[in-house]
Amino acid sequence: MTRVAQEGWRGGLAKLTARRTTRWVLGAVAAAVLVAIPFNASPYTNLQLALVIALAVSLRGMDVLTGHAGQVTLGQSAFFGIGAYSGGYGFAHGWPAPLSFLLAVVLCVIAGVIVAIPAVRLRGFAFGVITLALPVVMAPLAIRLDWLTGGPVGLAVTTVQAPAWSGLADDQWQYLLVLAVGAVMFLLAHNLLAGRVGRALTLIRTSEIAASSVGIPVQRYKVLAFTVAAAYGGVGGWLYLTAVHYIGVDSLALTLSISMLVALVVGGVRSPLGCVIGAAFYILVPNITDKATPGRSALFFGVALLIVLFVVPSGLSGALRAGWSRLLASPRPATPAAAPPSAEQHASA
Amino acid sequence: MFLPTPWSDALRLFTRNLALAAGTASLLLLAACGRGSDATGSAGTDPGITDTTVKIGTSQPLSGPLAAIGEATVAAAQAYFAHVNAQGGVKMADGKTRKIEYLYYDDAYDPAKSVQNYQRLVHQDEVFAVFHPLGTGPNQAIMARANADKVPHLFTHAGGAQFSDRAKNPWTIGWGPTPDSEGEAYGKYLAAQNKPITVAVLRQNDDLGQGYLNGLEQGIAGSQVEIVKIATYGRTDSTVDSQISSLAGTKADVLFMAVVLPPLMISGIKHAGTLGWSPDIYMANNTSDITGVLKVGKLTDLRTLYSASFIKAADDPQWKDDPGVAQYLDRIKSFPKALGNLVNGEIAYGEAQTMVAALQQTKAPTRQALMDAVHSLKGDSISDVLLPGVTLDSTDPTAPPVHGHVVQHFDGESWVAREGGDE
Repeated sequence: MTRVAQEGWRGGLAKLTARRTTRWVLGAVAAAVLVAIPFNASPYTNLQLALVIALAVSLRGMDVLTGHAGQVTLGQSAFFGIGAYSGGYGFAHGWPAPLSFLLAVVLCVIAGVIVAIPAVRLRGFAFGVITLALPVVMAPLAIRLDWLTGGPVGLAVTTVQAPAWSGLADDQWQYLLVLAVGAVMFLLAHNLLAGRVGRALTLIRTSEIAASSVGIPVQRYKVLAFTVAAAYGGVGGWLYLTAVHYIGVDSLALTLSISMLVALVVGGVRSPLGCVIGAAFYILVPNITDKATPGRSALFFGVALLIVLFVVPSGLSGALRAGWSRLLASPRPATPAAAPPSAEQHASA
Repeated sequence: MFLPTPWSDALRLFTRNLALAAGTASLLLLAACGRGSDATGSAGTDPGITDTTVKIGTSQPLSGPLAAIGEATVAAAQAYFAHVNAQGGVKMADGKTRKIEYLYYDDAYDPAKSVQNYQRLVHQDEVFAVFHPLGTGPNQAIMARANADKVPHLFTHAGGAQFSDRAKNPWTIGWGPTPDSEGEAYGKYLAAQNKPITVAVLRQNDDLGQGYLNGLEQGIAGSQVEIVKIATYGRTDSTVDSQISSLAGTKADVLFMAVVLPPLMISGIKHAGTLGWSPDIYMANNTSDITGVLKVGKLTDLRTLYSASFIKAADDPQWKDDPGVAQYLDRIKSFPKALGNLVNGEIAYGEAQTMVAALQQTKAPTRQALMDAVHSLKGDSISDVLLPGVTLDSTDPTAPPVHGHVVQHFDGESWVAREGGDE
């Protein structure tokens, strides 16, 4: 929707943000801030931010499948685990980092396709339940394959180390690596969804019948979305391992899959920003509440979740968007052409 | 390879801005490298210790299935540190008296969260030492970082032998005896009976269960004792009935329950009874406490229960006049969460006593000086909750500080020491 020019600072702001150059400048500033952070932050902050990015990548993949294609998945933690174990195995055996990264992607794509082909024939609840089987199988399987996964104890490894010429500490280097890979993954997702694939997935979400009646191969697109989600889960897991240096079954409980879905909903579906906000919510909120009363973080997390769902059901990113357009929209009735939807008007009273 | 329409579409779309992305990423990385000289350096003095305070921190499961154990562990340590602080603090060997500040965070037994807690404690709160994190996985995840950072990682609330291997991880040390040594205590006790005995084993399907079994095998080596069947269970299993049934088929003389989950310990023993199998049952020390297991499970009428311990169980009537145990019970009165799991609480109390003893002998306000003190601990006065015959000596670079297990028999009220046990 293009906004009609308005008088005053609101109109100016709207025009400014609509401009391409402004967006580039804003993007560059954001990138500079993200790159500058590790030099002034403690290793703890760097670890947390890296975890947020890793989880955001995984959520972005889920968003393609759940947000855009409308297929609710509870299996993302399994792919997250495959990615993390690939990294763990690779680093434990002295492989170069790109090799284990590649392994993570390839394994997840293969596993994704294998699971997706039968799964996409199911719809709605049945699809969700099938994907639920993945994390349920994951933990016992990881314990059985202890020569590969370290069994119940897991793998503690040294991951990517900062090269000497960089003069960086390992945590700074790892953060930057995670940030760079995360940025590429977000850009790839943007590319994918901006065009025909994105439109096809949207149509499948709104009406599968309509989609197939205009010649969209629904099943194939669903397999594609599932595979993309799997690959993103794997990359997220690999990034997570790179930052944490540890992977074990205790980190891959079924609740992780559910938490990922929750984080996606809290952040807001069909939004890159929503994925980042959701990941930040999942990683940072428990750490903040844990400071106040250790052990009650789950309680605070649940309360915060309920508040978000009741007050802003479109997720935090949706709330930000709504807030932004309310800021730009003139509160006077003199410019009805630019008035936001009535719900927002009502809320601004 | 055949590419259906969506796939070729996807590939094309994917790669559209790839060059741009790669360019941006490498530019950003180059920019990052340009600022490399800003990297933070380490300060000259050791953090976490002032002339009046010393800060230590831990990571515990305070939510999730193990929350009660984690809370008891924290509460009992708090109780002892509160007592020490009420006396003015701990008088360290550099002549200064310091109050102990004890920080703790929840990890829900997820090692990835333990790592975050470690980073938070060491790099944000700047603790002097990391003290008694709970669990094998969490300690495993912390150990590599602590040794890389040269941060004392002391008295792990996890028995694995890997935490007391000074050659590999000089900044890490365990506390209680390993599961291996507990299993070995049973093995030696059985071997000392000097008659043919058959043993069936139920163990957890991980390194902990393997440790118990390895120890047992070592203890019975060369004797007339024979292991006739081994069954395993998983930590997330809700029952061990089928395993018990299959073990009952052997009619073995002894059932070694290397089971560390109280509900499974209770239901397993009861199931053996319903099958008409009444072997001598050797219970892992972790899950043999009178209040939490025997009374809850209504097992107190059995006269076939054995367990090897290293602490004077606070709920055992035989220790009710023991000064160490009486003081423990008195001090946790203001920290009632310690009662949620008496065994782990009391072990944590012993760990806290050992921590204070190590600080008392620390000759300089540095982490290295603390490690020197930790590695030279020896003596019976360090902790007063250890069983008679159990010693505390951290000079052995390959074993945790607490040595020895006393095999005990449950007489309906108390765990009574038996002759012929380890050491």
